[in-house]
Amino acid sequence: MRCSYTSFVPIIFLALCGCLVSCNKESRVDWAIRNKILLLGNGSEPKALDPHLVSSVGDSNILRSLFEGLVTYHPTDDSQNAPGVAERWESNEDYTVWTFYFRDNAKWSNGDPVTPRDFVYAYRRILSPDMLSPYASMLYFLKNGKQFNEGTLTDFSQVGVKALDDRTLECTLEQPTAFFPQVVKHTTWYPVHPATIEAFGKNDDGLDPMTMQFTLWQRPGNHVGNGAFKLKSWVINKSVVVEPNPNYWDADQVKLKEIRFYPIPSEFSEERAYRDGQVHYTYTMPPNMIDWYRKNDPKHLRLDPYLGVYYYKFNLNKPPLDNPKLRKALALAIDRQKIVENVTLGGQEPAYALSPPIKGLYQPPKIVEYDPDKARQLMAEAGYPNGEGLPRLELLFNTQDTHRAIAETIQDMWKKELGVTNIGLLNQEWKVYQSTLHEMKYEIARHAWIGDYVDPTTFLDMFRTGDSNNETGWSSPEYDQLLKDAALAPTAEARVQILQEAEKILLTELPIIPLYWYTRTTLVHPAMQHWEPLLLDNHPYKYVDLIAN
Amino acid sequence: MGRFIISRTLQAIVVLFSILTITFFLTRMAPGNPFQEDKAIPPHILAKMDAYWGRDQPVMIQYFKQMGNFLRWDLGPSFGNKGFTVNEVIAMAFPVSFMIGCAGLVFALVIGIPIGVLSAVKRNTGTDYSLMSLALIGICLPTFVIGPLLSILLGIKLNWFPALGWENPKVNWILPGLTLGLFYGAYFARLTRAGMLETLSQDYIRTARSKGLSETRVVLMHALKGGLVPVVGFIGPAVAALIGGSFVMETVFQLPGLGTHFIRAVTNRDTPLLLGSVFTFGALILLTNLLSDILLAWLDPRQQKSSSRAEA
Repeated sequence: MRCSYTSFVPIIFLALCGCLVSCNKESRVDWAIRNKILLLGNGSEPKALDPHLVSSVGDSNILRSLFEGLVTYHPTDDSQNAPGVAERWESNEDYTVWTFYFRDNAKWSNGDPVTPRDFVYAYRRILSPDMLSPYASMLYFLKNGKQFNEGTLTDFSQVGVKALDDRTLECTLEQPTAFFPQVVKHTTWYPVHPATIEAFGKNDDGLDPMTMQFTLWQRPGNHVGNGAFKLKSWVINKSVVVEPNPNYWDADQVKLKEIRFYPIPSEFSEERAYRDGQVHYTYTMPPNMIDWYRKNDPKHLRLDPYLGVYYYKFNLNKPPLDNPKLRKALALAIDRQKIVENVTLGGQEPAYALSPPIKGLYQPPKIVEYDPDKARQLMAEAGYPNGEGLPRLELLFNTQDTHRAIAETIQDMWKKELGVTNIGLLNQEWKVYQSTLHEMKYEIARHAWIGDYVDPTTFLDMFRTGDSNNETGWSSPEYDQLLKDAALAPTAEARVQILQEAEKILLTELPIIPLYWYTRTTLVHPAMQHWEPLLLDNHPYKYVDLIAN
Repeated sequence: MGRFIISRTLQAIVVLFSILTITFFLTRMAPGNPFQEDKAIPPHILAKMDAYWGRDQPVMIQYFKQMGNFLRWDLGPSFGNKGFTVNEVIAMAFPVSFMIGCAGLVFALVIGIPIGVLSAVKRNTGTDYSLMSLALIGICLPTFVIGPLLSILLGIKLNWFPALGWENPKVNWILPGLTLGLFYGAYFARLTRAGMLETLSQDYIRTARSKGLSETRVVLMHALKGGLVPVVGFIGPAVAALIGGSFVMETVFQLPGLGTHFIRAVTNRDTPLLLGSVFTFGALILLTNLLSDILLAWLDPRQQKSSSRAEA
């Protein structure tokens, strides 16, 4: 048999190409560190770079570099507030009127001064019903904000925001809100540059330029922001690149020369990108690799607390889930410790309440714990001893391996502890799952929530009667009243006590089963400086630096 | 030949129109609201969104509007990418997919044809068996296995190429191109071998040999043209699949190509982007099939005659 060398040609060609390419051995992250360019994995492609049109965490990560609110995030502790456009702020005695005093040197990226009128314009824009903003409800804190957004009020001057002069903005709220500075850090409260919006929104159809959604203002070259960075380029599914904004009031603080946000939806691809030295930071990482990094490369692995909760919700409109004893039995039969140790693997905390503990601010009541004996007793009291007679129930989750693994584990726990054998698992793709959830066509469904601001009400408010996130059919006038009372509490301690009372009601009636509190599991390059663990993971980029070690 | 091309082009237009119609109605029948988010959007905003996009109108009116947009080649904004129109999204993504697809095709031809020819010439020998076994493995291993393997081996371990990304297209095309090339090259190798075996048994090859021509000359000058006929027949759909972009490849190598948009449009119920992607894929498949038929007719004139007879 003669051996031909023809088949080796492609391999030789490839090796030559490889040698040529790999002559320059400096990795991409090292090159980027040298040039102070931060390379960030950022989940999925941003929907928009307009703060009034987006709602996802990934989108907010980019917007945080391009815009700045009245108050901004503290680099080491996000329960603290750092001055943003406003250099100081104060409230009246009952926290219903807040006054923000603007700094003299706050400027847009085109050099125009940032004024209170810009904020009034922005709040009017996001609350306008024609803006179709998905997250406008964040501004329902403002007096009459909800009515204006729903179109029942058309006179914006009656909404609780007013530019008192060139340096002062006044916000009048629906109810006392002591934590309002926390709220205004959210992306929905960012200003937009009115002249830019109006210029690109001009149209021949007689429509209001302010609420035109599909204009070219978000493009590089057109985009005007007031953040520490300005937009340099945006290529769909490739990257969004921002560079320092020379007109930013605190430009001297900015150390980075560029930030590149890469949309990498696959956690496996992102982890490979990190290992290949292409990004300094991963948005997330595959749970099955956490252990490997823990043992082999711990200096890159970060497990930070994250203000989020994973839970199952019941549809109380569907019997027998209207029976509180049945709900409680199902809740007590779940061993959360096993779930976080064997399924989620990312150092999550078993959740015994809805709101995660917030150090120095809030400790939730400890009510929902693993107690299989009590669960069996409650099951019998509910009329289903050993699970007998319980009709089939569907457990809904969106299609994802981890959700399925959690659902299968819980299905198994209910079978072992309670004898419940007829729990069906139903997975649906994301958009279908959302519709099923929002239309309340489910029986038991998985859900999760990441806090919008550092306060327990970002979780507890979801279960007020009529809240669009409630979606369980549960309503408790006592719970609603306690949340109202908490807002009026004379001291912070009294407020916390009232909120704990409210949460006790929620956890006693259990329209939900809290499962675990999130952690943020990421890979972080050791060269990244001032990237401290933050509860909301909202890092102010102006402090971040890259220093080779 | 002219009549053949015109006839096939008219057929292609009808097929394309049918594909778009089916896609539109399937999308409208699919459950899920494209505007719904994790945080429930208040019903009044959702209703306004539907009205803004004309989704509150009768389905037939929506359909005719969409078809009108196609005729003007103005597909409007995408539901999912609020800063860009569908035309822009496709214009940005298509060159990436085209480049990767072309690279894949070149790799596939460079790898597949020599292996196929060599196997045919050395038929039923150790070389033939080992090369065809390799080709069979190539066919059996999907790109989502070959891709990460190459990415880890040539990218991360040997550091020859970037493991993924599109920051430096001058080198970023190599690994995805090679992944596609290995997969399709395996097909090409088997098809080339089959074609070559058939051609090498023809009388005119025997005549050429009897004239005393060298074996290399017989294979390359006389047999290869006929031996490539099955490959050319497969190239049409293969090129469309290669150039049209692949969600798997784009996810594995993090490429900003068309495949990702296609899948995202489906999951986000982004009707304008989905129709735009389907149109692009459909047009590509029809165009490459047409070109492949023309090439076949040139390589093997019997094909053209049979087509003409069929039309007559």
